[in-house]
Amino acid sequence: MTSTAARDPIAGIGSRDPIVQIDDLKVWFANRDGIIRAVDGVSFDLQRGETLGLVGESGCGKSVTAMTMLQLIPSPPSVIAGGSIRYNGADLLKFDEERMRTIRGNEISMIFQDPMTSLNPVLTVGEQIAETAVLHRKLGRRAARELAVEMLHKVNIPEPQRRADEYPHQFSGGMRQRAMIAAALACNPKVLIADEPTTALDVTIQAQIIELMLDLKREFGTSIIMITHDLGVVAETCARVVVMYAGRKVEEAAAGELFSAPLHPYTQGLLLATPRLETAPGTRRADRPRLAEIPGMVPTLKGELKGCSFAPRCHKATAICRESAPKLEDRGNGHIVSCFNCGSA
Amino acid sequence: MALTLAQIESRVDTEGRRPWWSFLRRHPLLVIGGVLLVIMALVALAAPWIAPYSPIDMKVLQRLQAPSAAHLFGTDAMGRDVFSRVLWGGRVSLIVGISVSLLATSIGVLIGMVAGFSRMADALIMRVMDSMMAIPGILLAVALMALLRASIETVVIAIAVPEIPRVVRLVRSVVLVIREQPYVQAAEAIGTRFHWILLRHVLPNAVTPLIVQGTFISASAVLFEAYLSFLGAGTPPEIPSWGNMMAEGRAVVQLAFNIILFPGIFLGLTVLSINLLGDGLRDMLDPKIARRL
Amino acid sequence: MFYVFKRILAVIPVLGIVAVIVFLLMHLSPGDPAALIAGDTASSADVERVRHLLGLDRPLLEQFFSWLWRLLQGDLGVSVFTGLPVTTMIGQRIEPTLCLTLLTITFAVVLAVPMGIVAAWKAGTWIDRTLMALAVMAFSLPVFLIGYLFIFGFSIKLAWLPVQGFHSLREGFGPFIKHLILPALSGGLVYMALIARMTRATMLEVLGEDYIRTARARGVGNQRLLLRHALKNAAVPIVTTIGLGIALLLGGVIITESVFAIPGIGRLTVDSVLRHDYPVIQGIVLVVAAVYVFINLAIDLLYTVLDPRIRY
Repeated sequence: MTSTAARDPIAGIGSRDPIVQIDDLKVWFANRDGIIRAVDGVSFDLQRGETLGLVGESGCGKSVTAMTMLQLIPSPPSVIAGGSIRYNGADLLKFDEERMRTIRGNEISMIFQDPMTSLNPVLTVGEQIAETAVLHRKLGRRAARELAVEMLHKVNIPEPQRRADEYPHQFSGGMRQRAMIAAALACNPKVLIADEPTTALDVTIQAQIIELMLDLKREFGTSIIMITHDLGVVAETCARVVVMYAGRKVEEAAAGELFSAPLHPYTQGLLLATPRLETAPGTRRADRPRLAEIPGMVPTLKGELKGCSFAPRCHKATAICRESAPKLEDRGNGHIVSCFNCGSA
Repeated sequence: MALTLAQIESRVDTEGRRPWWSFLRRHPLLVIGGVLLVIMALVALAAPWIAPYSPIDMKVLQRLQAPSAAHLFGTDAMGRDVFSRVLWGGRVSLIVGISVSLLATSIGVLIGMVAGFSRMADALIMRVMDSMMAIPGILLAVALMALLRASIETVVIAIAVPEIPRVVRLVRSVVLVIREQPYVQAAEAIGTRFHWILLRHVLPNAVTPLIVQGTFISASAVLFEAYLSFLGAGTPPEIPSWGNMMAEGRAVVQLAFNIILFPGIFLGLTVLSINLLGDGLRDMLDPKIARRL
Repeated sequence: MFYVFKRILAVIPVLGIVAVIVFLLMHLSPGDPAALIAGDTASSADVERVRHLLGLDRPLLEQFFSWLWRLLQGDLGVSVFTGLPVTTMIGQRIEPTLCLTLLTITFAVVLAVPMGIVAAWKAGTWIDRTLMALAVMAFSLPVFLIGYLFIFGFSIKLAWLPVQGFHSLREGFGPFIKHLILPALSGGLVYMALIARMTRATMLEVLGEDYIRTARARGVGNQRLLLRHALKNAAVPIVTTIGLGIALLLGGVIITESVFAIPGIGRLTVDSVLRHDYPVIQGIVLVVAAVYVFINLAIDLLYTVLDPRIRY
């Protein structure tokens, strides 16, 4: 397929049926000290029925990208400096508030990181789930409540009838996250954006939630954007992964390929920094390999960046890296990367 | 309404430099309130020199005159020049405002410290404070004035007493919070003397909110003096105070509104400036308030 | 249930201490209370009579307990000036004050809370700045000045409303309201400003919470977001302020009654102060404090309805 110069050379492997197309998105924030380029020219597609991972450290722009899809970021201080987000062909960034409301919770849903604070403490859980049905499907109160109970059942919450009338403070953390998922999926949206859904949960609960999400995806056929900095979650859930750094996309590949043959030094660094349990039992502590760290810190996103944004921390950086920013190139198999010096690790 | 790119780019400061007038832009309330207050204070302090007439000089033949060139704000029911009285009245308000604030704060700090450090005393003290707060301030002040001979000193006391409970609450809560901090517990554990803990750890944390509260107390005090005088239980009539003037002006409100109006405006401006100053101080000193663009 | 019980029980010591404070006030005077009450023109025989009348010649503790005993039986003592029981005097004046207070609270809540909500919703815009500027000005002007300005404007110049006085509801709703509007607005302005500011601050805080963002992400519209999702969370601090501010309000009512010549408790207080009629002052302070305490108790109990997290 041919593509415009601004977009990636190849949108993705497999069936080329993108339900969401993000094209050169730029989202900037203005504060008294300057302009923060939180998202600075990011493009990727979400294929229908796929689970896409969006990976990067805190501050790399992944959450901003996601929230911009639903226009959830207040406009001062943010501004959309360019690009488009197409959902089924229509540019969401051009929708007015009223049209966006028909999309939110209905066609595209989002769940957030912290289940403790993401549910309204003075409304019952059932009311909060039923609300989407009332708003979008125009259901009556009783029908909506039944839907809420059914959703609670689908997310494996025991005694859903009783629980629907309870308040969030009566739920545990894992249960609250399930309730959030229930609310998000109540109207069977085509796209679910999950922003760090497991980060605030205990490890055992994390596994349950992930399994739940995969089951629901199979049942409802939702396309998912999984935003996380936890590569383990990515490995379990995602077919394809986009890696972001300092507001830009630096690598994109199928999950398996990314883990086995990462090309960008940042991705390589991330993988090396992941603690592993594979050392043989009995190995002395002194003999265990140290966690590799990526030296330096994420740059503040102010001002124009000359050269590759990762160059200051990159052990492979050369002169050209500091002079001009590398462009995204396809290295085959839909594996896209932006680096002058990438090759094998 | 969404910002445009052009709007953002025009707002960005050049890097690093913070011109002095950016302080003005960032803390408008503080500056306006502060400047206004300083002006009012200077005017009041300069009264003996700038007042055209003596404030107590009665010229009965010239009573109830409308504002004119000779008498900027007119004359009152006893022929006294309203403008001069307004200027002199400012001194009473200043004195009352500052004295009440200092008195209520110092007593409040003492009691609050005791309440914070002694569990037993705390229960009793807080009950008493709650009870004091159950009585409307004006009512309590009025009741106190009923027992005391009217003078500026007694007015100050009568107004300060109802303000004490709020100071006590503030100090007590600061003490309680600070005492729970690990570094204070560590200090106590190694045997640091009590007064040292007080000075080094507790007081510095209390100073900022006390300053803000003290400012609001003085605004309240200036108003209360007016209220007490209006009700006839305030500053003795021989001393010109804004409250007194307005109280006397009641009788002739339909004939000469200026007698109530001018002291009222000055009073309002003074209290407003103190309130703005207090708001500005609070915004500036409280790091939790998010900065705006 | 336990919470309710605890709250009710907590009221008793507070009232008790108010009683002690009120009792002690008379005895805290540096001079001779009997002389002060009898007045400057009294002869020493008069002073002795007053002293005996008020029981000031008996030991302090005995005075306190007999006073307390009478208090618990509903006897607030006898006015030095009129000789009537204090309860009667208060009873005669309570209707105007009650009407004025209730009307003022109604105005305040109905006007100030929406103002605060609008200011929070439009935070940073000129609407917000104007509303908050008005609020600060309302705080800063003395109540009686506002009252006189209103009188000057509405009663004298425009002649829309009467200058002063009070008409009971029994005499018809029209005159009742017409006589009470200006007093309610001028006395209540400070109270309104307080509530508006608190509402705005609380709503701003709530609107910044995660669950509001989550609700928006589900497609909840602005109006519903404000009223159903945000306001309910803000209700507790707002209602608390409404309750605590009543002390401020009652102070304003006292002044307003003076300005608008309304024959209520406020006027009675002023008159009694001028006459040094101490038993009446004591009685008023007690009644007012008790009312305040009970209103705040009612609000505490209201919390259990407003916030499901507060049960016991």
